[in-house]
Amino acid sequence: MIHPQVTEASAPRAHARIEIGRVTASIDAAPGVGLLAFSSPEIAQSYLPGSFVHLKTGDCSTILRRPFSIARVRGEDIVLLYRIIGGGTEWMRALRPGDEVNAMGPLGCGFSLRMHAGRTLFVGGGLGIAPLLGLAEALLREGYRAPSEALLGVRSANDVFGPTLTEGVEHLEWHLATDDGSSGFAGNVVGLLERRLKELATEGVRPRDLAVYAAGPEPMLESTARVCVPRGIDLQVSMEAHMGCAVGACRACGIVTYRDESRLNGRVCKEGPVFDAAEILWEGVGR
Amino acid sequence: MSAIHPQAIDRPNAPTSVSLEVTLGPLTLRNPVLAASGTYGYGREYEGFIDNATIGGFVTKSVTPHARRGNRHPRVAETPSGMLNSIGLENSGIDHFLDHDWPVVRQEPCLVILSIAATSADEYFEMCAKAERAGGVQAIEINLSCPNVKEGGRTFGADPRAVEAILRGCRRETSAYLIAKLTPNADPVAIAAGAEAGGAHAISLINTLLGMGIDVERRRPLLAMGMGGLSGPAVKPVALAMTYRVCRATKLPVIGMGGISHWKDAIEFMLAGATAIQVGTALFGNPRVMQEIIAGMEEYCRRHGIAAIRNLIGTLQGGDVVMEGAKGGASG
Repeated sequence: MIHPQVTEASAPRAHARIEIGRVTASIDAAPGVGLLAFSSPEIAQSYLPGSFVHLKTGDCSTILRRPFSIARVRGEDIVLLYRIIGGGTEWMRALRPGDEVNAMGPLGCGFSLRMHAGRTLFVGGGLGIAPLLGLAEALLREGYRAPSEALLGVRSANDVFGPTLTEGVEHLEWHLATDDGSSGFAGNVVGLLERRLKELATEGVRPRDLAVYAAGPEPMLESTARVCVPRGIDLQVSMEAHMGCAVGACRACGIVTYRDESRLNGRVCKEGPVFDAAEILWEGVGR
Repeated sequence: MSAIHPQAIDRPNAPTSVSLEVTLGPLTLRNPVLAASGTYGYGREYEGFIDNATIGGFVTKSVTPHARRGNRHPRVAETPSGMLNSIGLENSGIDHFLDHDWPVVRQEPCLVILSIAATSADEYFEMCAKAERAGGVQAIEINLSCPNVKEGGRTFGADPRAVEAILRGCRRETSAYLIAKLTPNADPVAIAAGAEAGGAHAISLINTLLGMGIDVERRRPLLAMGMGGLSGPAVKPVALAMTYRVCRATKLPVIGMGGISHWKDAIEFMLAGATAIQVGTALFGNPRVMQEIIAGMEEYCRRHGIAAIRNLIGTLQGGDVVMEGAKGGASG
């Protein structure tokens, strides 16, 4: 028998609503990467790190919303970073200050803040870094002062998103991995993570003192889990999925298989998007 | 909820109050707007966005004899004015549902219709019997768009005799109001006749149309399963024509659906003969759509001097529509 998961009391969940906001900024953050900021006071107020918004994009012939991680909140503004891949994202890129944005959010369960970790690592695969920025800011705001570093994997040095990335998280120690070796570690971000973990071990940092938060494409998250979970390192991952309703009704995103066979698949929109990596049976995810 | 007008009749002067109430056999709905199966979970997921005390009711996500993990992903994709889905009936099975979910679901302040799906006739009967034992199940929508494992995977809903047998067997097991949900991937008139002969109390249609989309850059289908069900505004004219044809051919009440996303769509289905309508895919883009449709229907009735929306059902003007044209796919 498999059953729906009962959401743990510890998973922070925001109160969601629909709000018509106004664009305050719409710029190219890097080649092929857009930054959209829009005022949405109620969603901003309820934001929890790791939560997401479900946006109406395009004209009325576009019938589904699109989910986007909230990168950060600035006062009443929601800030998103997104890859421009045509369709709805081209529509987003064409938005200008003052235009309307119809957003539903904040949705989903966010990150649990590990305030007692001796060291924190944020691991981002490309634009997957987005929700980790707001998380890093939240930890800082809550008084977390232990060493914190960000590991970012991109294809090449040209893909680094510039000052929009580091603004507000200047306290982080940044490590870069590039697929083409044009800057930083040559290889993917999980290779970089493995190297950092070895270095930290020689410095006497114990696995159980670490908190790792990862976001990015599913294969990268799976690799990150295979590095961290066997070592007993606390890892939370923010998953991505195609969605329909984003409130748990349609099960389009019910793709996360749990190790506990008695639990029905986790919905990225409801039990997620943030999951405890140790609870996931990666072989089963999405298959 | 609107006050019930004791002598609801059409009249030229705008009525002060409009009754949106409709009845399905012994069941009274405060208005004709229901949320469709698979888009509304078990009725609580849209809490905070939709008040169930304002809608006519909802149909649960289909439950199956055993738990199902669902299909590979992607399970949904957008097409022009449409959505393709292939969720794979992910659910925890009827036993778990009746033990854990039903005691809560049945208390929702609107009509709750249980949707069941199975791969053999016996499984349908057994699920009806279990629902009967659980108590409080007023209505069951029988999802017939499933492969009949014993008949080589042919969809039940494509075979009028199989549909008749399922309905007859289900009637034996339960006193609930039985709604046969038809697939559009077969002749709905023939299937509706089978359902009626088997003892269905009502017909609902359409389920999704078989569809496909391909990502040309990756040379892969948009859905992991290759094909899936198309819904959304793209299917509405097809759904409306099928609803109209079935309404003309059956004595049973009909619940129409397929791409309804505006009050005008809902009125079209009712003019074509539907007693109630279901809203599905439109909820995803606009969780307020049912409230907007209800308000739009009420305003429409007021504007047209209709005191009770039930008086609107099947009142399409303009004489007989040529049925052969619809059947043969004739065009201009």
